[in-house]
Amino acid sequence: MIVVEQLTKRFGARAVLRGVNLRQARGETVVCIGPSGGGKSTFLRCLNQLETPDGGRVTIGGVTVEGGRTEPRERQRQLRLRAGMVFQQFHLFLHLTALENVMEGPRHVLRQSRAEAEAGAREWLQKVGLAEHAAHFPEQLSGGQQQRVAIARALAMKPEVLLLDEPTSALDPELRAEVRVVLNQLAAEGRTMLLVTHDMQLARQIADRVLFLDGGVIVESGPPESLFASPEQARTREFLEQVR
Amino acid sequence: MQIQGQARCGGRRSADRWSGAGTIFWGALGALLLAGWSLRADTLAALRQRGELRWGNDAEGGAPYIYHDPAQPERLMGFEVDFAGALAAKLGVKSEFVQHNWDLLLLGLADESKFDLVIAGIERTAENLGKVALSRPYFIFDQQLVARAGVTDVRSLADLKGRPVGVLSSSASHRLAEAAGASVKIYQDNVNYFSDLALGRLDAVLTDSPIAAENLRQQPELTAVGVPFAPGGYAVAVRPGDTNLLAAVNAAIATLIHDGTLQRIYTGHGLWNAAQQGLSGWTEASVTVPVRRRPAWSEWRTYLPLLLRAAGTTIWVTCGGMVVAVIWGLGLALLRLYGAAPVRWLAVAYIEVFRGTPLLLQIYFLYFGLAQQLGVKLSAGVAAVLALGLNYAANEAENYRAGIQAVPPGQSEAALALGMSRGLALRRIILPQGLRISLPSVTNDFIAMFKDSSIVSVIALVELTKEFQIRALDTGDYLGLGVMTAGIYLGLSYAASLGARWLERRLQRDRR
Repeated sequence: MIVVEQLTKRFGARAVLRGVNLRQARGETVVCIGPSGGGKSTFLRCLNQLETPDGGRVTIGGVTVEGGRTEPRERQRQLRLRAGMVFQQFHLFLHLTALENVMEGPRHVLRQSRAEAEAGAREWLQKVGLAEHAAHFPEQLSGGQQQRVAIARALAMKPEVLLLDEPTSALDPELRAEVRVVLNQLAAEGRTMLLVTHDMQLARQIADRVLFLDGGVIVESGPPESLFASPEQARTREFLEQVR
Repeated sequence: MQIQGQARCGGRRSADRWSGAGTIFWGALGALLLAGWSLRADTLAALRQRGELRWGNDAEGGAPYIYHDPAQPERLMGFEVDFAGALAAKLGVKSEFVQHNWDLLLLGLADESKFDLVIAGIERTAENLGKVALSRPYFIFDQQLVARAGVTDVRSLADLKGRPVGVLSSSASHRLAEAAGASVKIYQDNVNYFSDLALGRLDAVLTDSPIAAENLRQQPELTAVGVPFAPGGYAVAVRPGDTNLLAAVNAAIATLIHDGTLQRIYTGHGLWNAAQQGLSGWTEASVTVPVRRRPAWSEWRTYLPLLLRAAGTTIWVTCGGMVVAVIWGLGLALLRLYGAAPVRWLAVAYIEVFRGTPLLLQIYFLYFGLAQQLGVKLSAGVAAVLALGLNYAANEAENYRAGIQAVPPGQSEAALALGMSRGLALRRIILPQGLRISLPSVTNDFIAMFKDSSIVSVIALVELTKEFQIRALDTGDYLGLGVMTAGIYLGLSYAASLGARWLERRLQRDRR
């Protein structure tokens, strides 16, 4: 479903990604952990071309983009259509209601009829438990509610994978729980998800596989039980002790 | 009374004059001063003691009245300069010219520290006698009709019923053309109506004979039509109550007429004609008793509708200008933000040029420049709306840019991540938010434009400020008319700001 080969990215003199490789199967939930500045978010942003990688190759749902060159905009768009994105800061469209936020993509990108888009959007809001908040604007919603709308907005595009960039980091502890519930549910349904997080509890709950990303490379990966319990690499062990 | 011949510096002059609110303010102040004439000293005794006669005029008046010597720009020439010199000599003092805005010369007399009297083509009319004291005429002028050479259907004023005729604002020509039923186009100076006549925007110009003579010499495509008519006299204006000075001036003029000095001066300027014989026949008996005009304030029923009608022009020029500015400004902002490099530079250049040059210059360029050099003859209304719109578009573009750039970058990332193209993201996500942010600055400009629109009167559009000036000059009531005019402007701005607030509230519904 996702194939990443030798992905590299520099910001000026700083190499942020130094050859990242990943193969993720359909239905698999992969969680990427690691210290701040280790390249986790950049990795995710390179996957859907919000950043242009300097080298390597990304294939998602059969669409391949090469690093080191500016891909045609239409190719980028095709890739993004297959990879839904959820941001740490939600980034809901501030001038639209919750319902309109979820309808926006299906209506104007997938060109669905208003009725079809609205019915779909209501279903997604129902699924994340916000049916009664359909008419509310982002400023009228709590952070947790906003993030759930953002997840619904991404899912309404029926992406093949869902990329989540620290989806619970901007939330108070009690609001994190409601977002975790939704993510657990999605994982249980067998959605393909690639998630970057500092939230170890969330990682334990939903990961099929955990990647430890540090210094621009994947240092270690494995099922959560083994990686959290008995990490092989010293750096992994050190990191896990710090965040525990 | 009209003296602004070759307005070499027309732009600067008008820019000074056409800050609408400023004109109203100084006018009202002058009116207060005029109302309270109280002479502190005998001006004649004072000027004799000082040894110089300070006379007021506007050096931008132009040939043949008063103008700078092209060879020696600091030297003044003109028949009024020579007349003032001869008059001062007869009074036994030196002649000292004092520059003053022509429109406000008579009001300026109220300030004794500025000048002793005014020699500036002031017509000896009942209106002017109601404001100041006037000497016997020192020059007899006629009205001259001017048309394009080769035109056969303009033979007299009677042929011009309903046809466009250019006149100087508040002049004898203005009143005569209006009385003849012509469609009067009002100008601030004596140059531009000849341009518009040559360009075909006017069918004729009615003006004083010296001005006609001067311009016909320079523009062979124009021709004098019929014989001069409706003679009138230019007189020296002094403060009411300055009886000693008035008597001395009258005596001096009589001497200058009888000893042939005036004939010599006027002949030197090519102005001596049979009509000037009337100068010597003038007697004290023909002086009309000065009557003060009734202030317009008590006749508000007459003047308020006139001002309101002119406000209609202000409204449509402003609204039209704003529509152009709002649409073109958005285009400019988008080109500047998202255009390819050369397009972006062009947009930046446009914005800098239109923000960095006076609106007045832009109006002249659009209305006269395009017509004279490229043959693009815009009507005054179109030129006014375009000039205001193109100028304000530069401001609006910057307002929009500020608004668009204030939209958090996450908004556009989220839109792109949904698979939107950049254009779709701009249209659906960025612009709706950015424009809302710029709305208060844009509506603020709209309110400001109501006041700035007064500048379009330089291309013969009579809007609110112009109507005020015409009526104030006629009646001398700057205070009453000024209050009415200011009231109308205030009403317009307030209505506009109410509308703006309503619009902002409507669009902000979602932001809480």
